[in-house]
Amino acid sequence: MFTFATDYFIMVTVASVGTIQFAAASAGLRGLLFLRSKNWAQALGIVLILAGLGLFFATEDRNINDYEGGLDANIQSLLFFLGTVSGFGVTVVGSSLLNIRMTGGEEQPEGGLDALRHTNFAMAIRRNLKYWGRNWRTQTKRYFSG
Amino acid sequence: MLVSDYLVPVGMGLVLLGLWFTGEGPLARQRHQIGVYLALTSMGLSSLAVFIINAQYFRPRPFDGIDGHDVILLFYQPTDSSFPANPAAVTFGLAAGVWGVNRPVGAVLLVVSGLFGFARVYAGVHYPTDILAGALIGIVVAFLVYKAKALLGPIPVWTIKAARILSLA
Repeated sequence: MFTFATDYFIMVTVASVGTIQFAAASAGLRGLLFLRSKNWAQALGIVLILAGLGLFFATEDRNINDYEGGLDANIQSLLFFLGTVSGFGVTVVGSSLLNIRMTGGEEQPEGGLDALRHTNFAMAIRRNLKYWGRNWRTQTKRYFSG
Repeated sequence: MLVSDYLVPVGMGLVLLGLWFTGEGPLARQRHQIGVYLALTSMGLSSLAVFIINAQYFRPRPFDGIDGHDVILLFYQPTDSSFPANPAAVTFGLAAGVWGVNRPVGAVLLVVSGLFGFARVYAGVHYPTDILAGALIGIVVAFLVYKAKALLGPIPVWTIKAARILSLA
């Protein structure tokens, strides 16, 4: 039903969501998790990685030359990048909705990913941008000098 | 499946993605993220080096010249030059890049790269010397990229700091 490229993109997207779940659980970035338990989130990550790879490799013969329907290295790299971006998008939207009440305590404008230990992604980015909007002059100087 | 064009490269890409998010604290994570940059640079430059060598020198694949009725090939028949092996250069370049920032993960990736290379030889897609040359290119390029890290100046750190504003790093 789908083309080879679409199958590849779906595999990377699903496996990326799994990888991010596993890595975020390991790093304690609770704001990115779909499940509250760290162990269950890691298990979900592994299941998603295996599901993504399984869907791709177990459904059809993938041993195909690029001029016969396979992917050349450049297209593969591009689709991998787009798949990971898509996987990250799915993760931040899904985790922000599932952790909608996880708004953190104090303002953490410079937390980067660490802000996601206490806050969901939507709230973290909102706080960061608000803070930068107010203090962009001093922050830019501090961030990018030296 | 190990010989496939997709399994090992995708697996290694996912490891880089995982490294981006992990690390004990912001500094360790930043080190991983700089490692991801350098590993990707090594991978790209290794591929470029192979492309340049392939343009100058063509070595037929091991299955070329074998009567198709006598052997059943495990892999499709690529038409580009066998020497040096691009998959080996790319995977070893990436693995050596990761080795620079995380020894355990880098070691696992180097082993996986070795198995990938062995699988390519086993399937008759490359000669062992193709894989050895590709691996050497990847490792040397990664080493040079790390040595030349200072040439990039603060750009990777600035990029990561900018991404931190959006909670992306």
